[in-house]
Amino acid sequence: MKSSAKLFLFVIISFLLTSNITAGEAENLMMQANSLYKNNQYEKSVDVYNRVLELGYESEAVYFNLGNSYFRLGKLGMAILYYEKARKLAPDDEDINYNLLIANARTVDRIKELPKLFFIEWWDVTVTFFSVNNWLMFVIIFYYLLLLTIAGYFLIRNVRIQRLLAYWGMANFVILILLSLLLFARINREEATDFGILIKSTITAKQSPNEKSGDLFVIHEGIKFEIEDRLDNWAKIKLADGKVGWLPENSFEKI
Amino acid sequence: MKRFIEVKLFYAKSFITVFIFSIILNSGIYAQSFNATVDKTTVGQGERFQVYFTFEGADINSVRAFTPPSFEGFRVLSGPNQSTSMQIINGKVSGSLTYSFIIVAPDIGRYTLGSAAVSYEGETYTTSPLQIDVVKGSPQQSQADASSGVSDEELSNNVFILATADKLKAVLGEQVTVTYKLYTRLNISSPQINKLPTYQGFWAEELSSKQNIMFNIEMYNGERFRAATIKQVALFPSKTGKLSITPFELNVPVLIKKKRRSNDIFDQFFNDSFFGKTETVDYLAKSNIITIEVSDLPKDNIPESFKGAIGKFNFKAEIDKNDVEMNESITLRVTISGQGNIKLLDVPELNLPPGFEKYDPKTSETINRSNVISGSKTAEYLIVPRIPGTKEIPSVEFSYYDLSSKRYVTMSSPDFSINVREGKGGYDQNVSGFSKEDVKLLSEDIRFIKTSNFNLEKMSNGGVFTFGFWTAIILPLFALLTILGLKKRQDKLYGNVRRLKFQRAEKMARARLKSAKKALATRDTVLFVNELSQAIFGYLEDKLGLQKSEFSLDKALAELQNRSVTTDLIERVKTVSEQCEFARFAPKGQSSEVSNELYKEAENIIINLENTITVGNKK
Repeated sequence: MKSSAKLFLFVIISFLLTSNITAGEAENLMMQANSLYKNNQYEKSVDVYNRVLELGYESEAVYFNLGNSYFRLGKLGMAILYYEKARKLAPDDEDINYNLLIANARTVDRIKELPKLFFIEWWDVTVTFFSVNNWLMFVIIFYYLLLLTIAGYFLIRNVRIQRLLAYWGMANFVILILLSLLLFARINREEATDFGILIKSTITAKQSPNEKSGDLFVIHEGIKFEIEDRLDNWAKIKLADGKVGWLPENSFEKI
Repeated sequence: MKRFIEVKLFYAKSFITVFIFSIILNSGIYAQSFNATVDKTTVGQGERFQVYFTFEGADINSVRAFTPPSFEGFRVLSGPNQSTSMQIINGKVSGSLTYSFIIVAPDIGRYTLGSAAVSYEGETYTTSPLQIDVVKGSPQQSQADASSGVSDEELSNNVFILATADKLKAVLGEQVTVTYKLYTRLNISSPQINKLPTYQGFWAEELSSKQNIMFNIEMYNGERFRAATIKQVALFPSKTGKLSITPFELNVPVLIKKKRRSNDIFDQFFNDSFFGKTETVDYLAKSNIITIEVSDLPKDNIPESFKGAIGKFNFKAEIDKNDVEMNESITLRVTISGQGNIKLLDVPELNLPPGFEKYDPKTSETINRSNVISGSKTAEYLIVPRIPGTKEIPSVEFSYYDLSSKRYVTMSSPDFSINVREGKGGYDQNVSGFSKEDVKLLSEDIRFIKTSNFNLEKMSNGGVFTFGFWTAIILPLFALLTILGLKKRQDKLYGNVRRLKFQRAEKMARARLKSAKKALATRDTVLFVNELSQAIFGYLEDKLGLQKSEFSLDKALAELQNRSVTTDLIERVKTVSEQCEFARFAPKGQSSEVSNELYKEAENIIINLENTITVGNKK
């Protein structure tokens, strides 16, 4: 009993500590990059924001600010890429959506993205409400609570307490399942690279993953597409209007 | 004084009102009317007569949409002929507009001339129908005959139009030249067109004709005629089968000398064209109907680029520049020249590689209308390169059906190589397809960066399910399982004897009862009583948790009372216990019947106690 409680405490504390120790350094870099941005030194601010990412930190704020820097530099594709990354972390952030709208208005290709269904939007917002680590922490807390409940049920002789523990155990189990679902959705969202943004100014999509194959259609910087398949440095992409073609992988970035 | 002025004012007002009314009434006097009149209501068969539809009104210029009646039973020779007259009386304009028709009734009978309609200032006016009686009588021609001595037949032999085609069999799109010639042996004045031929199923191109009609002497059927080409048309059939051309109708005024039936010398002297009285007879000359048989083009070996060009053509495609900046326009000019259906052919389609924007071509054509239709058609394609690099525009192909060699000919231009340089300007200048909302967004700026609440999180680069995670999950689970396992073992080892005995009390009692029954069967009374009392007392000991050493019946009964066993049951326990005790000390005086009853009672009591105590304990 006592040893598991200790372990539990240890895990929680280690989580909190690791996310706090180096976060200070990243935070400083953010401040530094922001002041560079304010002084219109966009190229330098891009570098510093990227260093935050290199430290292994991410947040909608870094991506959003990076997107803004690229936008100011005229790199529309990169700007849209980082806005999209930011939106992945915070789909309901108004600033991100607004700047993405403006950036998209400056792209050449006019392909409208369909709005999401309301419950998908709610789900997205819920999933992104906490980070992966937060969700993980909740899952572990409720897992430990469930173990404690089970132990209590078997060790405590009192019939009334036993019954209460049985009810709580069931509720705890349901909560744990839900939290795990949210955790997996969050991880999946983070790791899925189903979408890409074109970085090159213009490119012709090919019929097959081969430079010599026939041309299909031309797309321009900043267009968003779904990545369906990959084959030696080529990717099969699908535009929002259903057009499918192959692009070299170095022409776009995954969101 | 003031009152007087008011009265005066009232009069003035009423005067003005009356004046205005009178104007309105005045204009009403010149109301519109639309009437139909004929010059005679009884006409002879084949006699020409005129119908007039007269509209009278103030503003005849706003008469619209004249609908003639159906001339059923009549033949229209000419019309509608329009004439207007205007009158200004006392400064008021009135006018009349007349539509007149010259018609002929070919059959005897009574016919109704339907009503005609016009629209005038939004209203429709119609005429009332007219009754015409056609009687067998002398037509006008015979009247003319009588006066001039020239019959209709005679006229038709001397004045006629001949339509000739250079060929009566043609393939689709082949030029057929139709010539209309007026032949005459009589004096005629300038003819007037009554009806133009219709060329259904053809594309017709009038060949250029001279302004004046020139008459030449020509022999026709061995007779001398003066003949003049009045019309020449080049026809290009656009569908297959037998196509006919409706006749060309000319109204030819023929000058006919009036014959005098006297033999007067003077008369004879004056009976020449100069002095002779001449009379003009209108003669309607009609051409013959021409039927042309049109056959289809050969169906085999049709080139892909064939788009209906037939004849003999030259083809040229050129590009104005091949070294351009991005977004700078290039013109590709395609010229097709030659003989044939130049107007009907379609310009070739351009196949541009991606990265070019193509606009609809601007086409222009020049047609030379002498004898054989020839000319040229030019299409200018505006091409705008959108991607830098060296690009190839594939060759443009053009095919036509050569009439002389009777096969399809395909011509193609060379490929065009275009070097597109990266321009200075971005796409912004030339991007099309923006919606209003987009334009608004273009002028807006992005929002400022986020300056607080960075929410920095360690990226989870696939490292969520680390070793640490799994230990954090599995270790407590093991701990829990160990604790539970240990607890069970402990229970077993130093297990609560009381608890164990409590659980096994009934089983033990049953075993004792069984051996008691066996003893009863062998009539071993001592053993029977012994076992029976052991069953009851042992059960009570185990169930109530009493030590054997401190067990007494009173104590057990008191304990039973504590566990809320009914007094009736306690009494029964007491009786059975006492009977057992008694039997132990007087073993011989027991009949088997009493023993049997005792056994049954003991069994019942144990069942009852088990029910009461165990259930009570669980609650």
